Amino acid sequence: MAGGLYDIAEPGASTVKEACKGRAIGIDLGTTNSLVAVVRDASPVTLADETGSRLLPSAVRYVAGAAPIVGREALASAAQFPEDTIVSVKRFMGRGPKDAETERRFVPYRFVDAGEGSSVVKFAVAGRTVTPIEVSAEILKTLRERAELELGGPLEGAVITVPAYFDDAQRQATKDAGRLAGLDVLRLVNEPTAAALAYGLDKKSQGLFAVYDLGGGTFDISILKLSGGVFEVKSTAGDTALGGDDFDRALAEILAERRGLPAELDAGQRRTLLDDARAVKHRLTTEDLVDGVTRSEFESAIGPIVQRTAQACKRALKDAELKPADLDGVILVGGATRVPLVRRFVAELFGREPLGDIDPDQVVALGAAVQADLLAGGGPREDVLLLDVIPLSLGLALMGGVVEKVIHRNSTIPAGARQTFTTYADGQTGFDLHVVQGERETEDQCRSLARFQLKGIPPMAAGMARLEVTFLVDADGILSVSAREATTGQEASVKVKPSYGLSDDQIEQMLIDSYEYAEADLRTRMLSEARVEAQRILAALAGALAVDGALLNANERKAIDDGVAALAASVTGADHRVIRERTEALDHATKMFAERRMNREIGRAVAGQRLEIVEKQVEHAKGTEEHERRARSES
Amino acid sequence: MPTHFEVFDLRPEYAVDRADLERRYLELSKATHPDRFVKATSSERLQALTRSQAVNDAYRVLKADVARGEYLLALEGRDVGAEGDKAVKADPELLMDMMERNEALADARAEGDHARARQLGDEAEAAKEAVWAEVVAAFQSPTWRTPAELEAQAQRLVKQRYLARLLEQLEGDG
Repeated sequence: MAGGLYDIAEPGASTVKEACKGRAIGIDLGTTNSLVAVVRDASPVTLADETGSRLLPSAVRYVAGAAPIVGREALASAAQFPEDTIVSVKRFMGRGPKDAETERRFVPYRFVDAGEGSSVVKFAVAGRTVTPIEVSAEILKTLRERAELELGGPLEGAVITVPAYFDDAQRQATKDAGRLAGLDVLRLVNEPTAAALAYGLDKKSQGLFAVYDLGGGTFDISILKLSGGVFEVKSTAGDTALGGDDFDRALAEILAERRGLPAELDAGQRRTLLDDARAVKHRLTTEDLVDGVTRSEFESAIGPIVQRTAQACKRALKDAELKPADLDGVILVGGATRVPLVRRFVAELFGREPLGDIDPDQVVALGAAVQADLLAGGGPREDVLLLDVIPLSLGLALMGGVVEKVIHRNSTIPAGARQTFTTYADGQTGFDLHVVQGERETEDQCRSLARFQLKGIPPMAAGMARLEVTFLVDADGILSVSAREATTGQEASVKVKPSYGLSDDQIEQMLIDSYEYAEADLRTRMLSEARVEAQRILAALAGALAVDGALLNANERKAIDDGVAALAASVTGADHRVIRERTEALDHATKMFAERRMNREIGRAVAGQRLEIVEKQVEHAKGTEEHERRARSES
Repeated sequence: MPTHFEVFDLRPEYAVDRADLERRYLELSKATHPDRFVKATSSERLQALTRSQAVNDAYRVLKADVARGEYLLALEGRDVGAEGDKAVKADPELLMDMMERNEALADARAEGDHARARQLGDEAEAAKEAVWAEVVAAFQSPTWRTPAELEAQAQRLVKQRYLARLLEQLEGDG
């Protein structure tokens, strides 16, 4: 698939040209390994650390009184410090203390028994308590630093990949981790979609593709339609607790039996056993007998796990209204697809040999880098567009625990819905909504997402208020809710209580805590963030005004110019709050301008269509004329 | 708020050229998708989010025959998805027919008579296809917006819904 918009370069094969380096990065935050990639000379490449290693083991070891150790060194000492070294933290992202219960049997961590009302998993490590968000942030920070070193300066932003089947809470947790790591998260992109982008950017690759992505801890299947640079996800399905780790566990049980180990193992023994199992698994890819375990023994142990992916594949095909024979190709992604049994299984399920010519460990990071480059404006963006979907339906829990779906699974994002409610008591000013995610029909069978408290409804007689609630799922797959009373037009305030996650205030506090001993650092960072944001809006606005200034009358133009002058004057100041306030004021002043520009864009898009149709008709007419002329000359 | 048809600059008719609709959808997506506005002002990013959502919503409805048909009727004030006092009331005859189908199916299930259940499913499928053919034919009539024809069309769409729900139940059985 070489040629086209981007070439997928072999590691080490590309030459460095400073001028061609993108400043936006793509990160694959994996269960087992994580990677960072950038677009260089129009090709995405993954970046290596100082030892030449591209894969960063997703392992974080906490040490009392020192900075955490991330990566290979942490992993190597995991058996020695099993309780302080968190590996496969991705499995805990966006999960509650009770959810993780099933995982606890296998992992050696000390969980902090969270009190009433606590909604996130917490680990006790080296004398402190950390959440999975903070652990992930350490991994992201290491990759950010690697990229900054390579690119020689601050970054323009990052695209972070997530399993397509991640729910809202897991996505929000990933975004929070990015923010905590000091990254400007431009977009969360689904892993299979990123892989398809890396594969399909040769604009000539058209057709229907399935991406089978079996990673360390998650499984995704996505069906995409590729045409003319548009990557349209038709459907997605998966399991966020199924992956290569499960192979290791199945194998560890066999090994424990062979070695005559007792049923109860201490934390260090468990870690060693899992590490050994992983090593045996890797060797069984090419060898038939390792450590007393035959490949067929291994295959019969993991068979049921692999079989579990079939159901998701069938559902994805059904949702896309396709049969295996309709596909033009199947792409393998994720380290666990190296297992021969998995390859045979996929080949049989889809009736064709799968494609795997881009390293399944790197392909997601490469695709993320391409998307980061497109978003930051570094690439030929006109023709490339990703249209992704929401993996699980969003619903509202009604009286009696019945769930009414408001946005269906596999709806293209951004997706939205509007529902109208009324008050049931005289003078009622508040309203509670419980939003759940999942396909089942009752509240307790779906995953609780958040409780939204609407306040500030003008007091009216019962049944008179018309409360319009708007649900909006953004391009990251994350939900927001807004509400207004329709008869008075008054906006209601919406307070979100996430069921499994942290509130904005808690994240803010974590940011502050991470700078606990460096007050000045925090202020510097807030100031620098405010300046970057202000400069971004000033640059964007200057560009927009240069092109479309004519859309404004003199008064409107003056209001914007005043806002620009005020913001520009504050940028050099030292108070981040003033910069923020003026940024917001300017933003408010440009609302109408933004709307008119968008209307004009939409007008052009539709007009372009008309033009194209007219051109086709003209062509057709010409063809007919030609034909007639020829017919005449023949006669 | 523009209608779903207005979003695509199309006339509100049942007949839609799928390829043309898809081309319009992709052009509008390219113009409005938030990916195009990552570096823009917050106002523009918000515009992109809400506009592209409206484009996606309109496309979802217009590309599917049943959803498009129901939407056309809703534009004429007959929303077959509405509840409460705005709901379209099913004819007694239709209600009777549905009740009979439901009962027969419940009996077949209770007796574990899979062959009978399958047969009832096939009949429902055939009835659904027949009523949909009527819906499509009625939309082609130049007078489909007259009150009497709208009412008849609403009844057909209600019937289609009932049958679709019945078939969904059967599918749930596996």
